[in-house]
Amino acid sequence: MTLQQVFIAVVGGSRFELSDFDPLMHPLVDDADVHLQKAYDWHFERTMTAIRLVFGAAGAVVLALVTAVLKQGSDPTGGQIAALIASAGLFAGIGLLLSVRLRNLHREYVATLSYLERQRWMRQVLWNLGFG
Amino acid sequence: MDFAEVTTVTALLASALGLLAVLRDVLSRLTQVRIGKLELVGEPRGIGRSPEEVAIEIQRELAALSMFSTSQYALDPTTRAQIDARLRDLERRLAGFSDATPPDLGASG
Repeated sequence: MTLQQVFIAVVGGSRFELSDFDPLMHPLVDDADVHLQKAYDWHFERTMTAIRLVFGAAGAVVLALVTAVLKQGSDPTGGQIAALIASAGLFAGIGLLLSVRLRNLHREYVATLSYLERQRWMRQVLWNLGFG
Repeated sequence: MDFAEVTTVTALLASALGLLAVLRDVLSRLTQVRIGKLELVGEPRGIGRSPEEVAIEIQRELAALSMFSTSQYALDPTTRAQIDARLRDLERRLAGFSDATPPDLGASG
């Protein structure tokens, strides 16, 4: 496994496999491209929800840190401040990773659509010849 | 426990869970990576064989192409080139086999 493949696996838009769309390649399935788009739409929505969640969590941690510093009573220790900043940074990092993945999603969608249509054409020809 | 302690523990636990989820996802993605060149399932051409044999062979090759993840196909140029070359070859074989014209989808590959 090359470094490039590891990188692609980490920042790739989705965890779909081409075989996930095998049922859509059958000649009797209508509007395969619409179904494919639906699958990617669902994935996009799920990822967007996760992005909002982790960035929201990062903001909440920062807000809690500010509140802890400003409120009356015992001040947070240096360790607590460092832990909260690290925690917020981690949330933000996860959010950034998910954003990068989302940026690659359209390339995956277009490539998968092209692959699906080519497979469908060949399976249609085989089907028409009686080898379905 | 005061406010700062509760906040710290909660934030650390939540971010640790988030990190675990990401690590699990990355490991799962790494297991999807397929390494090596695509192996030719059958003979390069269908000369001298029955249409049934050629059709079964093409079907097997079509199924074998789908073992890759969509991200590897879309983002890894080497994998993309291999799969597209195989698709073009299969389209040519099938066109010769059936007089059908391949769709103009793989021109960029």
